[in-house]
Amino acid sequence: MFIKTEITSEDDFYSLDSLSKELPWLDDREYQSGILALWEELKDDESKKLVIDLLKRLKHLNDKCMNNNAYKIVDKIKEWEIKADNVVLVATSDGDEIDGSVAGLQFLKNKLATLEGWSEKLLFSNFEAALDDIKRGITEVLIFDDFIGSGKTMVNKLEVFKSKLNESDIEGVHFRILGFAAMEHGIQHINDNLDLSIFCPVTLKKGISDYEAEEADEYKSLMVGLESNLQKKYEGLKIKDFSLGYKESETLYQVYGNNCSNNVFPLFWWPKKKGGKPRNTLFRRLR
Amino acid sequence: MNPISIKLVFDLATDKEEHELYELHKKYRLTPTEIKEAVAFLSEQKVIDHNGRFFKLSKNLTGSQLSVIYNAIVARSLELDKLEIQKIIDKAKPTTELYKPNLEIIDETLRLD
Repeated sequence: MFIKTEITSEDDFYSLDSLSKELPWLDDREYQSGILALWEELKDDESKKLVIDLLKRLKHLNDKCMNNNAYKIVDKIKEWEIKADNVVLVATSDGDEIDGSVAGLQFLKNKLATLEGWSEKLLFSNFEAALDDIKRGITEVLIFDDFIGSGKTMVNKLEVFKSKLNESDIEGVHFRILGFAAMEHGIQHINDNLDLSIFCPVTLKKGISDYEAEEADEYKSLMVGLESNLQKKYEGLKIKDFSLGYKESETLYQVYGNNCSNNVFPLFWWPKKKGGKPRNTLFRRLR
Repeated sequence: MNPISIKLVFDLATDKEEHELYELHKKYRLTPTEIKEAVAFLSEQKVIDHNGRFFKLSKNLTGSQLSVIYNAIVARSLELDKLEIQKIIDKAKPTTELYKPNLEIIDETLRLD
């Protein structure tokens, strides 16, 4: 489908050009058409100021950044002195699902080749797949997710898995969590509920609440107002469940060319306008 | 570098008047990035004089500059023109159909009578 570029006013055209100079990641074919379309939706200066502030806070990672982060994760595995003959690295996908955790693990493989004794047989896409190895006596389990939002999914999945191990009378398994990026409040939630080590090279604050003091509520109301111009339901999803990002995560994070996290403010990725017209979004998310 | 963007910048400049970058957005819906890339390329080749928000065609383009422009735009994708091109193809007669040639378009020196 060809989505046309929106025409914007002369002032907005040059202010977006200036913004692209300030945020070089925005000065790319991937985002230019989407940012013009977003500007067309923002009807007042207040909304434009809010979105500019959020874009300035957004952590955008390109391939080189991701590569460096993958090396940092491998360095952490070395630092933990985990031996290749007693470890499995497990992504958090559900069953046969292809998700960001599996894609992230595939990306990590190349760097794991720098670790002595490691092979792809130590990598699993989900907990179930790794169960047999753990039953055979592996005690170090590294859990990998590409992005940790609220941390609730991670805690739930790990608790379910731990109870499965208990049912099989397996004890003494040591868990640690790895990820490319995590929300600070997500790490906090995990630390409050699980006694384990976490390492993510990128940690993120909430896009509004952790940056604004007195004006946070006002800015959040403004954002919710902008979300009211989006279609309420899309392919079984309700916008209210993603208001300010999934679980109100207020995430400002994007990896170049990758599926956008649902923790990100939906203004940046929700695919339909109120009334059902498609949006030319800044980021994209395939459900 | 998108050949279509280069062609559109060049087309606009051929009237030898001064133009603003925004005109390329308003007229052709090019994005700021597409405009900057195309204008930077043509400016680097000294095909246009670019000054901030404004640009105009350089005076006295050489044959080698025209060659650079030709090579930059010749291989452009016709994705946007596809529908119009298809209309022309649909109107065309089949190659096996008889037709009366239009002799008026043949140069007089080639005519025998």
